[in-house]
Amino acid sequence: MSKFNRDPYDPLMQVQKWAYRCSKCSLCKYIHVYQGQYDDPRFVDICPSGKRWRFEAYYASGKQDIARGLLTDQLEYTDTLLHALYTCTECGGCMSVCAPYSGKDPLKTITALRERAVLDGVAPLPEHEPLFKSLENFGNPWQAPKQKRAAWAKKMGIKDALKDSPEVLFYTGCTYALDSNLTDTLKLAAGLMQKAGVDFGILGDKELCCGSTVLRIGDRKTYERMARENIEMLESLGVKTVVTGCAGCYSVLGEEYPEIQKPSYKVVHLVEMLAGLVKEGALEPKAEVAMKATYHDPCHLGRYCGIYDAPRDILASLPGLELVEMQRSRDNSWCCGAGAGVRTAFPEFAEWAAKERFYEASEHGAEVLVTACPFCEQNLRGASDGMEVKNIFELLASSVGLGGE
Amino acid sequence: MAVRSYDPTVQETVEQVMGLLQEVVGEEWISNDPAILIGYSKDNSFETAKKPHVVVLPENTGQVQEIVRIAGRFGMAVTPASTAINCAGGCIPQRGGILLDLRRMDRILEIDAENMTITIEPAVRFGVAQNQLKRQGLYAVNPSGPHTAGVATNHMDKGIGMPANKYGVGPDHIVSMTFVMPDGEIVKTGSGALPGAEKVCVEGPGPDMSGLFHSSMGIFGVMTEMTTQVYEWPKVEVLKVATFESEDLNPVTEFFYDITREDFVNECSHLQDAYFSWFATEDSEVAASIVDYIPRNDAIVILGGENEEEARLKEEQFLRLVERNGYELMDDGTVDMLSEMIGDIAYECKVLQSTMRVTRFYGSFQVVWFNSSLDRVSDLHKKYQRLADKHFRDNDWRNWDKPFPPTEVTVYTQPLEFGRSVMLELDFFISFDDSESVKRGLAFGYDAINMVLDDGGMFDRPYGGHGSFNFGTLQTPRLGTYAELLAELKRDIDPRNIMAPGRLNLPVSQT
Repeated sequence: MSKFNRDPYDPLMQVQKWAYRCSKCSLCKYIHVYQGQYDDPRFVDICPSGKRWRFEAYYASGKQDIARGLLTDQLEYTDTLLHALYTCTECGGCMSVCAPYSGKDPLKTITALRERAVLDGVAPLPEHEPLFKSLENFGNPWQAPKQKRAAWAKKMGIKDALKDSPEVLFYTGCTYALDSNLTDTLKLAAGLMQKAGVDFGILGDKELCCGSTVLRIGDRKTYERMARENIEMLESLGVKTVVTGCAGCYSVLGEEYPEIQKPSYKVVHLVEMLAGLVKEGALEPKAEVAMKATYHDPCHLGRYCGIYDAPRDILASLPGLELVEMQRSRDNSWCCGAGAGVRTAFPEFAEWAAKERFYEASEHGAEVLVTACPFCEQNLRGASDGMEVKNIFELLASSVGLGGE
Repeated sequence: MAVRSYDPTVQETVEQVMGLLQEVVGEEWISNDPAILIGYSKDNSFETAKKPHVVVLPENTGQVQEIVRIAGRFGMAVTPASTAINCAGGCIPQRGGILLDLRRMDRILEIDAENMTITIEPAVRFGVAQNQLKRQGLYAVNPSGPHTAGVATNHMDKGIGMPANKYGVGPDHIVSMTFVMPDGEIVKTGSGALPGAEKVCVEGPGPDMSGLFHSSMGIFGVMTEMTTQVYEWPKVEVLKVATFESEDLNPVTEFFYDITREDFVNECSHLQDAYFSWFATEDSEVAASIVDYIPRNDAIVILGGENEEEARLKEEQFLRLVERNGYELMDDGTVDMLSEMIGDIAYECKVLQSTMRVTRFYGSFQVVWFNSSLDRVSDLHKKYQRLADKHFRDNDWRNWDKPFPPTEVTVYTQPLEFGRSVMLELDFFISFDDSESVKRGLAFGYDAINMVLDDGGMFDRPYGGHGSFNFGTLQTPRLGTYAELLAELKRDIDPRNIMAPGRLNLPVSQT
């Protein structure tokens, strides 16, 4: 394995000081110790890969050591190193618990390690190859033809954002638009905006992948190309707002794209918009949604973007729904296990992490697990032994009389 | 079986040992991959990074016994780590060999509310123990470590000083311990040494051997179980801060002496303004903006009682001491504000739980941490400031990427054990990504440690304190016969020197 040149632009050089300054205190491994939120020792781990494999290397603290090892040529890439690096879901749990105490961000080191691995030609992993080929061939990670992206919207009378100049662009994201198990949810989400009178349009088969997955896997070059194409298109539309129901797209559009170019539009997640519409009275949940549910905070919506209240506000507005909180919620949330290419490369581990979540939900008395992210939904549904998984849009739609439940 | 000599350079031996260890713990819980090994090579101390040859994660005492026996056959070093967050090189495998990562042994085995004890495995953390205990109105004394620190090893190895003199030091809480000895046999300390007599008393059949294991850092064996005392959680708690606006620490020491003599507080510590501001804030700029509003010397006290009346009486007692010593009381509004700023992370140990926040300054928080007498605090602090002036004159702590300058070198004090006994921290910051600062830190540390030893201070853990380097290399030669005797005991108990070799810098056998 060739050693990298340590030029100032080397991703690892950017995080060198974090790698050396880790105080190995292990805060990155467990949830915050908020009063009353640490009661059950079964649910205090915050790092899925660490909890599963237990060796230091699988935690964020061990990744700092790996970074030091690569920087000082003490380490070479091994299968185990790559396994430890790529079983991390980049959920940000480590960042969330470390930063308030230490001012450090261990996640940045993990991101840099992945970028370095891609530059060194040892990543993406072979398991990621179909995903990258699909992006190259179809412009989405799901090996689906571009035309299929618009199929869900047929006969819904939704504006074409390229022609009809809507105020709001509904950026659907690849997963909602192309996974046939999720397109009904997308229809309901669009239906909710229509019912509330939102002036929105879609890009249909012209919509491009946001690049979130390639960014998280570490291929920054490909990501930046995709991001620039997207930014150019979004800026050309003249919309005031871009709304998306996908947590991954939202964090990239809202948090990452501005690092490339300051946007002329506002980026909101659909839960924020819908919570506002419910509050304003534009949507009136009336029908009973009788269930005892718990909300699973998607990492990219919660820890990455700080949206915790809006989905809970929506759930609180649904008549008959009893919301119970899991011990690991909000910034203490346990990742579903799908993110950052983990489900693609390590499906068994992704399933294990999801089952941990079901276990926690059921121990807290929940009958239904609600989320607001298509990746979480996919992974949780795939791993469920019986507990129902619902998207928050479905529940709201059913309560305002749009079908579904 | 014939004893084989272990040559760490011989991969064949390592692989042979790994094969045997795999039979004990299963393939999943053992690794010699470099990416795994490096995770155990470095901590937040000046200790030179050293990798083990193998990492093993046993699940129970039986597996630990088998692992130690295998290591003994090959003469291979065994370095135990419970939660592996030791900040003084305590878990760094100085001679390579087997790193025994005990983190899977994290079960609470029993909470005995009547006897006020908890029995735990070595990797049970304060965060978990405290919450389980609280359900029964109990708590384990947390010496201001983070919630990730291990209860058992913290008590055994005298983690940072206890929050008030009435608690003594870490080992004072221990009822009994179970050790896997270097030959793989099991020894229990305390009355538990006699089967059936568990929890009868803390002292074992005399002469009591418990002390041999205190601060031993694994050189006599692997601790796999501990029963430790816990205490009743006060139903009412009051936080008070007494302040003294002066550089002179003599009034601080007299105030603490009064508190020690009257022995009525649950927690008591002394912080100077800079530390207080760092504890209270997440951001260094905010810390810098509030530091001028915080008095120079702050005695933080938590009073607790069974009811409001008891708490009120203790508060009155405290106010008398404040007045007698010329202190002022921080107004409740400021206390509330600071409490709120600290509050979301303060849990087990109130103010002190936020100590991890100091690690944000320049990366690495280093402590010269020792026991001394209240009489010497003021003088030591002044000498320390002079030393800091010599080594760190050009630093500016308000720029968060620089360690703080001599004028802000602060002292942290806790009454300890009895009378004028005190735990003292003199702190400084370095960054391991800056080799110049590491050099300066080392030079400063050696000067400071020698200064402490010359002035009658004692490092009760021979390997040093938090973030410190091998204090033992400076202190042990001064121990004379005491160190020789320890070395002889080590030879007798561990003739092949497999348990944490090199850890305590003992003479002869520990070369």
